[in-house]
Amino acid sequence: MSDFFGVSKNLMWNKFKLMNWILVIDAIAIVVIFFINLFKMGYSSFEFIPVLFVSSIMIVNFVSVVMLARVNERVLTSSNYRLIPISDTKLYLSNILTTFLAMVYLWIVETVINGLVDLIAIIIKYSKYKQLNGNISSQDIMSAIQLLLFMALATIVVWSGITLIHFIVNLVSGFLPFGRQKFVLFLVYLVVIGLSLWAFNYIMINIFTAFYQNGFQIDTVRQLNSTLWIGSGIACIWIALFSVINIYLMKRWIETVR
Amino acid sequence: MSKILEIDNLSYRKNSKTILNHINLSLDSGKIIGLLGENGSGKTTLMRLIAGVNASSEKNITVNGMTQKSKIKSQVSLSDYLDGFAKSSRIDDIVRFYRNAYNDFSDEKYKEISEYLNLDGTKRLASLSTGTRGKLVIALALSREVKLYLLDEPLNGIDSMSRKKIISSIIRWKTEDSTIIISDHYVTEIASLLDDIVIIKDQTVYEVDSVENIQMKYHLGIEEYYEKVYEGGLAR
Repeated sequence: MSDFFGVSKNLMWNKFKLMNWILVIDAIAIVVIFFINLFKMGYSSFEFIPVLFVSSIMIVNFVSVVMLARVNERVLTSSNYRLIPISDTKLYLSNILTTFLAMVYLWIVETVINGLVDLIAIIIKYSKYKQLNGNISSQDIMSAIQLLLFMALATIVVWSGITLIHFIVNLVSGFLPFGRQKFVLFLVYLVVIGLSLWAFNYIMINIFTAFYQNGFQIDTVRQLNSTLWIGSGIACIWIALFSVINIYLMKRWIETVR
Repeated sequence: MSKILEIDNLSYRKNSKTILNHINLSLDSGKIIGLLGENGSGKTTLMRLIAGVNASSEKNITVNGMTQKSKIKSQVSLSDYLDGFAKSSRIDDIVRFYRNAYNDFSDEKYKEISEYLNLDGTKRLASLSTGTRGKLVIALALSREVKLYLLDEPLNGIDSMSRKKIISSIIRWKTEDSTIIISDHYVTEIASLLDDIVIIKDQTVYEVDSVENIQMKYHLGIEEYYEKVYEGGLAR
């Protein structure tokens, strides 16, 4: 039998390589845009470095979530991974864990670069930016950590949800006479995605209605924090639920396609 | 002789089409067995079911006494066509993947086989010819030290020189206690290798017998016998 560590090592290698590619392409894009701005605006273009960096972070995060979701899917339906003598539960968990670690790696690199950008901004005495950084309280940092935790869990919910949708489509199309035809597959995707979103939405509305019977309101940091805690808890339940269903489908129904 | 593979009443349907129906099979260990059948007869599906990458319940297939899928996988090496790897992957990357993933992967064996088959580790998957890719698939499959090797049409689309190399490497690196099942619809090239044959016809097992018995019973070579089975010119 193969071990969890050996399989995770392979998964990490692929996903870290992908993250590095995204970071390299992002860095090239930032440098090119910076030089275009420098050419157009001269010295004052330095003031736009933080803005440029924040915009790039948003794009890079979105692209990374999408690309990692794609890799995540391919692993579970590839013979090269499914032939490994490891239980489907271990493979699934190793896959989602390494996908998450790749995302964390990206966040760490972004944080380090953000620190460097802050430093540049301070050195060139970009006063507004300095003022903004100077007014952060410990409570703000706690809220930021809670927000990060919620975002991380929400991202895992998205990945697990995408996997579940793919698995259900895979399962349903296997029973249909023309399930391999692209048009039929497209219709199945449409119906499954529509129904899944409707069910998810319906459940979430009911949960939030139960928690906030007097109306949903966030006016204070405390309210924000409690909403984030509730949100994180709900995300954990979704992750557990999706994972149990995904692992069951993997064990019994999901075949490799490449 | 112990049983390496036992299949009990296995059926498989996909997209409302029956691909395999009531398969019953019992194979002895230590042999080279030909899994024969025309295109689309279900040979690949049967191999994938044994290897656990096609969906089936855990009660129908027993490999070396094991029925749990993850345990079966540790006994079986299926020739994987490497479609799950990025085209830009180098051979060395794929070998590293195998080394990390399979505890039974033998570096020493891979080194010997890859040298024999002239595989260059720095080459990328996208740049490999069909023949070289076929050699790599065989080298990787045989480098695992398991009880059952499933080689799915290893000679498909491969030139005659590479075919000879692949066939000789199968003979050379087969250990005494391991079993190799080779599927093919061209029988000529592999006939000399085989101890037993399994013929799949009409979604089920038509015949399981030793090459020796078939020659004695029908006074035909394997290729002629196989052709006659498919032409319907042979009374059972």
